[in-house]
Amino acid sequence: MDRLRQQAGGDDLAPAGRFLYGTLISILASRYRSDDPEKDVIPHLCHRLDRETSGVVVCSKNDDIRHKMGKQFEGREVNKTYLAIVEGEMESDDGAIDFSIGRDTSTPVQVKMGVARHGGQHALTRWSVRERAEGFTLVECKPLTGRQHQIRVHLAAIGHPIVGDKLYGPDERCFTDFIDGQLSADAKKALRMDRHALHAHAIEFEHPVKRRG
Amino acid sequence: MTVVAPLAADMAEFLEHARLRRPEAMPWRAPDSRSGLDFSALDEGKPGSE
Repeated sequence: MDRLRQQAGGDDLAPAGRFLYGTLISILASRYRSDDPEKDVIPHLCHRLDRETSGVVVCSKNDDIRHKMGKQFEGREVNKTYLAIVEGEMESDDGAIDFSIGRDTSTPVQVKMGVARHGGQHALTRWSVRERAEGFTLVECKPLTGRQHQIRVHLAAIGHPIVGDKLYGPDERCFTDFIDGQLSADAKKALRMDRHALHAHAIEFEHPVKRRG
Repeated sequence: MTVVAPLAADMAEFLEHARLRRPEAMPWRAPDSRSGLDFSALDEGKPGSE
Protein backbone atom coordinates (compact mmCIF):
# COMPACT_ATOMS: atom_id res chain seq x y z
CA MET A 1 0.00 0.00 0.00
CA ASP A 2 1.25 3.42 -0.79
CA ARG A 3 1.67 5.99 1.89
CA LEU A 4 1.19 9.67 2.27
CA ARG A 5 3.47 11.83 4.28
CA GLN A 6 3.38 15.35 5.46
CA GLN A 7 6.78 16.91 5.45
CA ALA A 8 7.68 19.64 7.87
CA GLY A 9 9.35 22.01 5.44
CA GLY A 10 13.13 22.03 5.46
CA ASP A 11 13.31 18.24 5.57
CA ASP A 12 15.10 16.50 2.74
CA LEU A 13 13.08 13.94 0.86
CA ALA A 14 15.64 11.52 -0.52
CA PRO A 15 19.24 10.70 0.33
CA ALA A 16 21.60 12.65 -1.90
CA GLY A 17 24.96 14.36 -1.63
CA ARG A 18 25.59 15.45 1.94
CA PHE A 19 22.03 14.57 2.99
CA LEU A 20 22.33 10.81 3.36
CA TYR A 21 20.61 10.40 6.69
CA GLY A 22 17.51 11.92 8.24
CA THR A 23 15.70 12.19 4.93
CA LEU A 24 12.08 11.18 4.56
CA ILE A 25 13.00 8.12 2.52
CA SER A 26 15.76 6.94 4.83
CA ILE A 27 13.47 7.34 7.85
CA LEU A 28 10.63 5.48 6.14
CA ALA A 29 13.07 2.74 5.14
CA SER A 30 14.12 2.37 8.76
CA ARG A 31 10.52 2.27 9.92
CA TYR A 32 9.41 -0.43 7.49
CA ARG A 33 12.61 -2.47 7.42
CA SER A 34 12.14 -6.14 8.12
CA ASP A 35 14.56 -9.02 8.48
CA ASP A 36 12.04 -11.08 6.54
CA PRO A 37 12.83 -10.38 2.86
CA GLU A 38 9.17 -10.90 1.93
CA LYS A 39 8.07 -8.17 4.34
CA ASP A 40 10.95 -5.79 3.75
CA VAL A 41 9.81 -2.52 2.20
CA ILE A 42 11.82 -0.19 0.01
CA PRO A 43 9.95 3.14 -0.05
CA HIS A 44 10.10 5.49 -3.01
CA LEU A 45 8.98 9.03 -3.62
CA CYS A 46 6.23 9.31 -6.24
CA HIS A 47 7.00 12.99 -6.78
CA ARG A 48 9.14 15.70 -5.24
CA LEU A 49 8.74 18.89 -3.29
CA ASP A 50 11.31 21.62 -2.97
CA ARG A 51 13.38 21.24 0.17
CA GLU A 52 11.65 24.08 2.01
CA THR A 53 8.11 23.27 0.93
CA SER A 54 5.89 21.68 3.55
CA GLY A 55 2.83 19.50 3.09
CA VAL A 56 1.68 16.31 1.44
CA VAL A 57 4.10 13.92 -0.23
CA VAL A 58 3.05 10.64 -1.84
CA CYS A 59 5.36 7.67 -1.29
CA SER A 60 5.04 4.10 -2.51
CA LYS A 61 6.04 0.94 -0.72
CA ASN A 62 6.79 -1.04 -3.86
CA ASP A 63 7.81 -0.58 -7.49
CA ASP A 64 4.42 -1.52 -8.91
CA ILE A 65 2.66 1.28 -7.06
CA ARG A 66 5.44 3.69 -7.86
CA HIS A 67 5.02 2.88 -11.54
CA LYS A 68 1.24 3.36 -11.42
CA MET A 69 1.53 6.62 -9.55
CA GLY A 70 4.26 7.78 -11.90
CA LYS A 71 1.89 7.34 -14.83
CA GLN A 72 -0.70 9.51 -13.14
CA PHE A 73 1.83 12.25 -12.44
CA GLU A 74 3.25 12.11 -15.96
CA GLY A 75 -0.24 12.18 -17.44
CA ARG A 76 -1.14 15.20 -15.32
CA GLU A 77 -3.98 13.24 -13.77
CA VAL A 78 -3.00 14.36 -10.28
CA ASN A 79 -4.50 17.61 -9.03
CA LYS A 80 -2.31 19.52 -6.61
CA THR A 81 -3.23 22.52 -4.53
CA TYR A 82 -0.66 24.67 -2.78
CA LEU A 83 -0.98 27.50 -0.29
CA ALA A 84 1.54 30.33 -0.38
CA ILE A 85 1.99 33.52 1.60
CA VAL A 86 3.24 36.21 -0.74
CA GLU A 87 4.57 39.71 -0.32
CA GLY A 88 2.00 42.42 -0.94
CA GLU A 89 -1.77 42.36 -1.17
CA MET A 90 -2.93 41.00 -4.51
CA GLU A 91 -5.43 43.29 -6.18
CA SER A 92 -7.48 40.70 -8.05
CA ASP A 93 -9.25 37.83 -6.36
CA ASP A 94 -8.05 35.22 -8.84
CA GLY A 95 -6.18 34.77 -12.07
CA ALA A 96 -3.85 32.62 -14.12
CA ILE A 97 -0.15 32.96 -14.93
CA ASP A 98 1.09 31.40 -18.15
CA PHE A 99 4.66 32.62 -18.51
CA SER A 100 6.97 30.02 -20.02
CA ILE A 101 9.78 28.92 -17.72
CA GLY A 102 13.42 28.17 -18.46
CA ARG A 103 16.85 28.36 -16.87
CA ASP A 104 17.73 31.86 -15.74
CA THR A 105 20.92 32.48 -17.70
CA SER A 106 21.52 35.87 -16.12
CA THR A 107 22.70 34.40 -12.84
CA PRO A 108 25.54 32.12 -11.73
CA VAL A 109 23.06 30.23 -9.54
CA GLN A 110 22.57 27.11 -11.61
CA VAL A 111 19.33 25.95 -10.02
CA LYS A 112 17.58 29.25 -10.62
CA MET A 113 14.73 29.28 -13.11
CA GLY A 114 13.04 32.28 -14.63
CA VAL A 115 10.45 33.49 -17.07
CA ALA A 116 11.70 32.64 -20.56
CA ARG A 117 11.29 35.40 -23.11
CA HIS A 118 12.18 33.02 -25.92
CA GLY A 119 11.65 29.30 -25.78
CA GLY A 120 11.33 27.77 -22.36
CA GLN A 121 8.62 25.37 -21.33
CA HIS A 122 4.95 26.21 -21.25
CA ALA A 123 3.72 26.67 -17.70
CA LEU A 124 0.33 27.50 -16.26
CA THR A 125 -0.64 28.31 -12.68
CA ARG A 126 -4.14 29.23 -11.57
CA TRP A 127 -4.42 31.16 -8.31
CA SER A 128 -7.07 32.59 -6.04
CA VAL A 129 -6.83 34.73 -2.95
CA ARG A 130 -7.73 33.08 0.35
CA GLU A 131 -6.96 36.02 2.61
CA ARG A 132 -5.31 39.44 2.60
CA ALA A 133 -3.45 40.26 5.79
CA GLU A 134 -1.82 43.66 6.16
CA GLY A 135 0.75 43.66 3.39
CA PHE A 136 0.61 39.94 2.64
CA THR A 137 -1.70 37.56 0.81
CA LEU A 138 -2.50 33.93 1.45
CA VAL A 139 -3.03 32.56 -2.03
CA GLU A 140 -4.16 29.15 -3.26
CA CYS A 141 -2.25 27.94 -6.31
CA LYS A 142 -3.02 25.12 -8.70
CA PRO A 143 -0.14 24.33 -11.05
CA LEU A 144 -1.55 22.79 -14.21
CA THR A 145 1.96 22.05 -15.44
CA GLY A 146 4.86 20.81 -13.35
CA ARG A 147 7.89 22.95 -14.13
CA GLN A 148 10.77 23.31 -11.70
CA HIS A 149 10.04 26.07 -9.16
CA GLN A 150 6.91 26.91 -11.15
CA ILE A 151 4.83 28.51 -8.42
CA ARG A 152 7.79 30.41 -6.97
CA VAL A 153 8.80 31.77 -10.38
CA HIS A 154 5.27 32.65 -11.42
CA LEU A 155 4.34 34.48 -8.24
CA ALA A 156 7.62 36.41 -8.24
CA ALA A 157 7.05 37.31 -11.89
CA ILE A 158 3.77 39.06 -11.12
CA GLY A 159 5.37 41.04 -8.33
CA HIS A 160 4.34 38.89 -5.41
CA PRO A 161 7.29 36.71 -4.37
CA ILE A 162 6.71 34.08 -1.74
CA VAL A 163 7.67 35.21 1.76
CA GLY A 164 11.03 33.74 2.76
CA ASP A 165 12.04 32.71 -0.75
CA LYS A 166 15.83 32.88 -0.79
CA LEU A 167 16.08 32.39 -4.55
CA TYR A 168 13.19 34.38 -5.99
CA GLY A 169 12.65 36.81 -3.12
CA PRO A 170 14.46 39.98 -2.12
CA ASP A 171 17.95 39.01 -3.36
CA GLU A 172 19.34 35.76 -4.75
CA ARG A 173 22.42 36.31 -2.58
CA CYS A 174 20.17 35.17 0.27
CA PHE A 175 20.31 31.75 -1.37
CA THR A 176 24.08 31.61 -1.82
CA ASP A 177 24.75 33.11 1.60
CA PHE A 178 22.38 30.60 3.18
CA ILE A 179 24.15 27.73 1.45
CA ASP A 180 27.46 29.11 2.77
CA GLY A 181 25.98 29.46 6.26
CA GLN A 182 26.47 33.21 6.16
CA LEU A 183 22.97 34.63 6.08
CA SER A 184 23.15 38.13 7.56
CA ALA A 185 20.73 39.67 10.03
CA ASP A 186 19.58 42.08 7.32
CA ALA A 187 18.88 39.19 4.96
CA LYS A 188 16.88 37.38 7.62
CA LYS A 189 14.88 40.54 8.20
CA ALA A 190 14.17 40.88 4.48
CA LEU A 191 13.18 37.23 4.12
CA ARG A 192 10.88 37.38 7.19
CA MET A 193 10.69 33.57 7.50
CA ASP A 194 13.39 30.92 7.81
CA ARG A 195 11.88 28.95 4.92
CA HIS A 196 9.73 29.88 1.98
CA ALA A 197 6.03 30.03 2.82
CA LEU A 198 4.82 27.39 0.38
CA HIS A 199 2.72 24.42 1.48
CA ALA A 200 1.49 21.43 -0.53
CA HIS A 201 -2.06 21.62 0.81
CA ALA A 202 -3.97 18.95 -1.08
CA ILE A 203 -3.39 16.24 -3.62
CA GLU A 204 -6.06 14.40 -5.57
CA PHE A 205 -5.42 11.19 -7.48
CA GLU A 206 -6.89 7.80 -8.27
CA HIS A 207 -5.86 5.29 -5.64
CA PRO A 208 -3.66 2.80 -7.50
CA VAL A 209 -5.15 -0.20 -5.69
CA LYS A 210 -8.68 0.83 -4.79
CA ARG A 211 -9.10 2.71 -8.09
CA ARG A 212 -11.04 5.46 -6.37
CA GLY A 213 -10.70 9.00 -7.68
CA MET B 1 -8.93 10.19 -3.38
CA THR B 2 -8.01 13.57 -1.95
CA VAL B 3 -5.60 14.11 0.90
CA VAL B 4 -5.43 17.45 2.63
CA ALA B 5 -2.69 18.76 4.90
CA PRO B 6 -3.71 21.69 7.10
CA LEU B 7 -1.63 24.82 6.69
CA ALA B 8 1.81 24.36 8.22
CA ALA B 9 2.11 25.73 11.74
CA ASP B 10 4.84 28.22 10.92
CA MET B 11 2.84 29.70 8.04
CA ALA B 12 -0.25 29.99 10.25
CA GLU B 13 1.91 31.70 12.85
CA PHE B 14 3.25 34.15 10.29
CA LEU B 15 -0.25 34.97 9.09
CA GLU B 16 -1.32 35.67 12.65
CA HIS B 17 1.61 38.05 13.08
CA ALA B 18 0.68 39.72 9.78
CA ARG B 19 -2.92 40.18 10.87
CA LEU B 20 -1.64 41.91 13.98
CA ARG B 21 0.65 44.08 11.81
CA ARG B 22 3.81 42.70 13.32
CA PRO B 23 5.31 40.28 10.80
CA GLU B 24 8.74 41.18 12.13
CA ALA B 25 7.80 39.30 15.29
CA MET B 26 8.04 35.98 13.47
CA PRO B 27 10.90 34.09 15.12
CA TRP B 28 13.77 32.86 12.98
CA ARG B 29 14.42 29.20 13.64
CA ALA B 30 17.53 27.32 12.67
CA PRO B 31 16.74 24.53 10.18
CA ASP B 32 17.86 21.84 12.62
CA SER B 33 15.56 23.09 15.37
CA ARG B 34 12.40 21.91 13.63
CA SER B 35 10.21 19.43 15.40
CA GLY B 36 11.12 16.70 12.94
CA LEU B 37 9.00 14.17 11.18
CA ASP B 38 5.64 13.09 12.52
CA PHE B 39 4.81 9.47 11.89
CA SER B 40 1.42 9.45 13.58
CA ALA B 41 -0.42 9.50 10.26
CA LEU B 42 1.38 6.39 9.11
CA ASP B 43 -0.25 4.12 11.63
CA GLU B 44 -3.01 1.93 10.34
CA GLY B 45 -6.54 3.11 10.94
CA LYS B 46 -5.72 6.70 11.78
CA PRO B 47 -7.02 9.62 9.74
CA GLY B 48 -4.70 10.49 6.92
CA SER B 49 -3.09 7.09 6.74
CA GLU B 50 -4.31 6.41 3.23
